[in-house]
Amino acid sequence: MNALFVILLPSILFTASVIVILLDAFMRDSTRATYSFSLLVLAATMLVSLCLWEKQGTAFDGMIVLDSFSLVVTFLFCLAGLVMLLLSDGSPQSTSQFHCLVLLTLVGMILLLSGTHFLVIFIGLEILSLSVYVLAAFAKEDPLSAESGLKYFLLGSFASAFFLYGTAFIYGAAGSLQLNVIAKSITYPDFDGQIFLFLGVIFLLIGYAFKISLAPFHMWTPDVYEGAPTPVTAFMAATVKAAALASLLRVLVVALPSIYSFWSPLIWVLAVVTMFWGNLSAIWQDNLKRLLAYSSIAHAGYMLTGLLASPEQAQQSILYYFAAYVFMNLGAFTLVNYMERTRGVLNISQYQGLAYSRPALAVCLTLFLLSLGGLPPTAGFFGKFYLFRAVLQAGNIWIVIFAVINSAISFYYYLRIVIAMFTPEKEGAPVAASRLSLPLILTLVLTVWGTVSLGLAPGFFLEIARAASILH
Amino acid sequence: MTGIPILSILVFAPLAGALIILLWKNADAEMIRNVALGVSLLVFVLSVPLYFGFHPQTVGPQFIEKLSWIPSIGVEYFLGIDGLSLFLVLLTTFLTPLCVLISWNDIKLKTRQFFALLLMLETGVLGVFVALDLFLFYLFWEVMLIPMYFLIGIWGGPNRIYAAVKFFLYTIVGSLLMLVAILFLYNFHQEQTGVTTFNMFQLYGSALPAHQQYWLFLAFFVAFAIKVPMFPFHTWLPDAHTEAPTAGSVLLAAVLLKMGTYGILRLAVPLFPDMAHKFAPVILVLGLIGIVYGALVAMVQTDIKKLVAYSSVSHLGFVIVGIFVFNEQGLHGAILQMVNHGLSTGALFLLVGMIYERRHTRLISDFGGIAKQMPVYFFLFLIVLLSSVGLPLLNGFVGEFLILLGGYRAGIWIALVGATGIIWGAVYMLWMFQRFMFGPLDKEENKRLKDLDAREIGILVPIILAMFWIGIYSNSFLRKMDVAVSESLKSSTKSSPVGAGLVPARTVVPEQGSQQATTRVAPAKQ
Repeated sequence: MNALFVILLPSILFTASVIVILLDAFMRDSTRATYSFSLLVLAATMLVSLCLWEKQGTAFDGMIVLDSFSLVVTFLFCLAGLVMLLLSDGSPQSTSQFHCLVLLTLVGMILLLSGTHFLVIFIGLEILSLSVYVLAAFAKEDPLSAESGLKYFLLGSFASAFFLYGTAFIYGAAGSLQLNVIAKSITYPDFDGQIFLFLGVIFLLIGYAFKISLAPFHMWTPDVYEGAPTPVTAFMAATVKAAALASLLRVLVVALPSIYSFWSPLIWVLAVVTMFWGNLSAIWQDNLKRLLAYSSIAHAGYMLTGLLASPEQAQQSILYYFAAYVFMNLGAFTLVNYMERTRGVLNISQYQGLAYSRPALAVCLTLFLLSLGGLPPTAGFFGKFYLFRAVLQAGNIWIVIFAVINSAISFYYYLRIVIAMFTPEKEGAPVAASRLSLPLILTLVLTVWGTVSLGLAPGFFLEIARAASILH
Repeated sequence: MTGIPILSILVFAPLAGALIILLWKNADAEMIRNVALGVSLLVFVLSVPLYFGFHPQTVGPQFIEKLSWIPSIGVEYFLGIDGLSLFLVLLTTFLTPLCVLISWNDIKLKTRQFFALLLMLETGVLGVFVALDLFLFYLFWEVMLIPMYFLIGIWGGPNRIYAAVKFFLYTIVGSLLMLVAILFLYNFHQEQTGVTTFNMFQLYGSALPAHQQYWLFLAFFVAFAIKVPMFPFHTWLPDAHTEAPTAGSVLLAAVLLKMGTYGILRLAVPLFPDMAHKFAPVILVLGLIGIVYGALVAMVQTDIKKLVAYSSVSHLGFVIVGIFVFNEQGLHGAILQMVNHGLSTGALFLLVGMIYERRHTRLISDFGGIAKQMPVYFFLFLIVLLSSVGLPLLNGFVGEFLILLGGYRAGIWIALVGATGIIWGAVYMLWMFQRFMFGPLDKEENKRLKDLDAREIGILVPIILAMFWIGIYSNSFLRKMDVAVSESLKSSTKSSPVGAGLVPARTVVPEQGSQQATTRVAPAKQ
C-alpha cells in the first residue's frame, strides 16, 4: 500500500515548521514572512485534506491510519490554527518561533488522532504537549504566563506518565500496542490478564482525562487558560482537548469495544462529574478567560457523553458537536481577545455597555454565548441535539437528563455576560471606537457563519459527519 | 389551497421587518415606529384571509406547507393551522400592531432595538403556533425566549434583570426536559416503525409502554405548565409581568402564556392520551387551586400590574380545567377562553400602561377619583373590566360559562369551585376599580391627569369591539373550532393508542365527530 498519502498531512506541516525555523535563523525580521507562510501552509493543508477525502489507508505496518474521521478533525484543527494565527497577529507574541510551535502542535495533534499504535499515539501526545507548554508560557514578560506554562508542564508530564504506565499494563495483558491487535486478543469475560487490562485502561483514562481536562483531573485548566496568551487559550480550548478526545474515541472504539461494560461506567461518572463541576464553577467566575475555561471543561463533559452511544453514532455526534464547538468557542475567544487587546479588560463587569459602543460585536458575542449554551437555531443547539439523540438511542437516559440540567445551569453564566453587555454604561466612561482590523473581521465572519449555518442548515455537515468513519 | 405560502410569509415578515429596522442606519425614531407599525399591520391584514379561507369542516391542518429540511434525521419544514391554532395566530397578529402603538411614546431609549425585538418576538410566537414538525416547534419555542428576555431585561422596571433571568431559566429548564422527551419519543418511533420523523401527527400514534408514557407526559406537561403558568409553577410570572414594559406585558399575557396551553392541547394530550386521563384528576385539582389561589392573591395586591398578573394565573386555571375535563363544552370553552384572556388581560395591561405613563406609579393607593378626571378612560376600563369578570354579552362570559358547563358534566365539584373563582374574580376586580376610580380626587398629581388621546382610544376600541363580537356572536368562533375539538377529543379518548395509526389531513363530514363528542360520557367523571 502506498504509504505516502497517509502521512502527507503531518509531513507538510512538519516540513513547514522546519522551514519556519530556518527562516528565523537566516533571515532578519522574519516574522511577517513566517506569518504569511504559516497561514498559507495551513490553508494548503486544509485543501489537501479535502483532496484526500475519499482515500483511506494505513502506513508503517498499521501504526498510522488515514481515514475520513481523522481528515475531518484535521481540517477543523487547521482551521483553528488559522484563526489562532489571525488572532495573534500584531501581538508581541507573534514571532517566528511562535508560528513554528503552532505548526508543530498541529503535527502532534494529527499523529495523536491518527495513531493506531500506542507508540505513535504517545509520540503525538508528547509533540503536542511540549509545543503547547511552550506556547502557554509564550508571554515571557508576564509572570502569570510563565506560571501557566510551568504548571501545565508539571501536571502534563504527570499525566503522560500515567498514560505510559497504562499502555505498559495493556501491553502486558494483550501482548501488543497495536489497537486492532489488542482488540483481537481480548476475549471478554474469560481473559487471563483481565486485572492488568483493567488497571491499564484506568491509567490510560486518567492520562487522557488530564489532557481532555475532565474533572477531577482538570485542576490545571483554569490557571493555565487564564495565564496563557488569549490566542493560545482559544487554540487550546478548541483543539487540544478535542485531539485527545478523538484519540480516546479511537482507542475505545477500535481496541476496547469488547470491554464496553467495563469502561462505560467510568466514562459515565467522569462525564457527569465534569459537567457539574465545570458548570457550577463557571457560575462564580468574573474573569472571562476563567469562565470560558470552566465552560470548556463542561463542554468536554458533554462530548464525553457521546462515547456512551453506539460506536458509529458516537463518532458522528462527537464530530458534529466538535465542529460546532470549534466555531462558537473560537468566536467567543476572538471577541475576548479583542476586548483584552483594545481595552485591556477581562472582567464581566467591564463589558458593560458594549452593546451600545460596539453593537455588532455585542450581537456576535451574544450569538456565540447562546450557542455555547445551546439555544436554537445555533450550531450549539444542533450539536447538543444530535449528541443527546445518539446517547439516548443507546439507552442512557439519566446522563442526558444530567446534561440538559447542566445546559440550563450554563445559561445562567452565559446570560450574565449578555446582561452586562446590554446594560447601559455609566456616564463618563466613553470608549473611543477603534477601527476593526481585517483579521478580526475575517475570523468573526468565519465563526459567525459556522455558528449559524451549522445550526440552521445542519444537513450538509451532517452528511459529512455520517460519511466520516473510523478505520478499524 | 392556493400556492402562496401564506403561513411562511406571516411568520417571516416580522423578522424581515426587524432586519430592516436594524439595518436601516439613517432611520430616526419616527421612521422606525412607522416601519414597525406598517409591518405589523401588514401581517395582520395578511392573516385575515386565514379566518375567511379556513374551512371549518376540514379535519387536520390547513394551509399546509411542507418542505424537506434535514432529511437524514427526518426534520421537515412543516407548517399548518387548524381550529386550535387559527385564533391564536389571529390574536397574535391582532395584538402586535396595538403593542407597537402603545410603545409609541413610551419607549424613548433604544427605539430601534425595541421595535426590532418586538417584531422578532412575533415571528417566534407565530412560528410556535403554526409549526407541525416537533423539531421546528421546539426551535421556535426556544427562539422566542431571546427577544422576550431582552424586552424585559433592557426596557423593564428597576428589578428587570432578576425578572428576565428568572423568566429565561424557568422556561429553559422545562423546555430542556421536554427536549429529552422529544428525543426519546423520536427514537422510540424510529425503533418501532423504522421511520425517522418529527411530524407531530405521525408521532401521535406511538404505542409506548405505560411507564415510559408516564415520564414523557410529565416532561411535556411540566414544560408547558411552567409556561401557562399553572400553579405551582407560576412564580416567575408576577416578576416578569411587573418588570416588563407595557408591550412586553401585553404580549406575555395575551400570547406567550397561550403557548403553554396550546402545547398541552397540541402535544401533551394527543401524544399521551392515556396518561393525560390518568393525571387529569391531579391536574384538575391544581387548576382549581390556581383559579382560587390566583384570585385570592390578586385581591391583596397593592400594585395594579401585579394584580392583573395574578388574575392571569386564575384565568389560565380555567383554561387548564376546560382542557382536562375532556368534553366538548370544556374544550370549546378552553380555546375560547385562551382568546378571551388574551383580549381582556391584554387590554388591562394596556390600560395600566397608559396610566403608568402619566403618573409613573402603579400603586392603587396613589389613585382615587380618577373617574371624574378621565371619563373616557373610566368608561373603557369599565368595559374591559366587565369582560374580564365575565359579564354576559362580553367575551369572558362565554368562555367561562362553557368551561363551567364542561366542568359540571365531569363532576359537580369542579363547577362549584370554578364558580367561586368567578366570584372572587369579580371581588378583586371591582374592589380595585372602586379604590382606583371612585372616591375623592385628593391627590394633587391626579388632578392634572389628561384623559386618553386619540391614539390610546384607537388602541383600545378594536379590542373592545372584538370583545363584543365574541360575546354576542361567539358562534362565528366556535364553529371554526368544532372539528379540531372533536378530533382532539377523539384522539384523547382512545383507550389505547395502539394501532391508532397516523392522522393525516383528510376531509370528512364533521357531523359524526361532533355528535360522538356530545353524546360521550365525560371520562374524567369519577
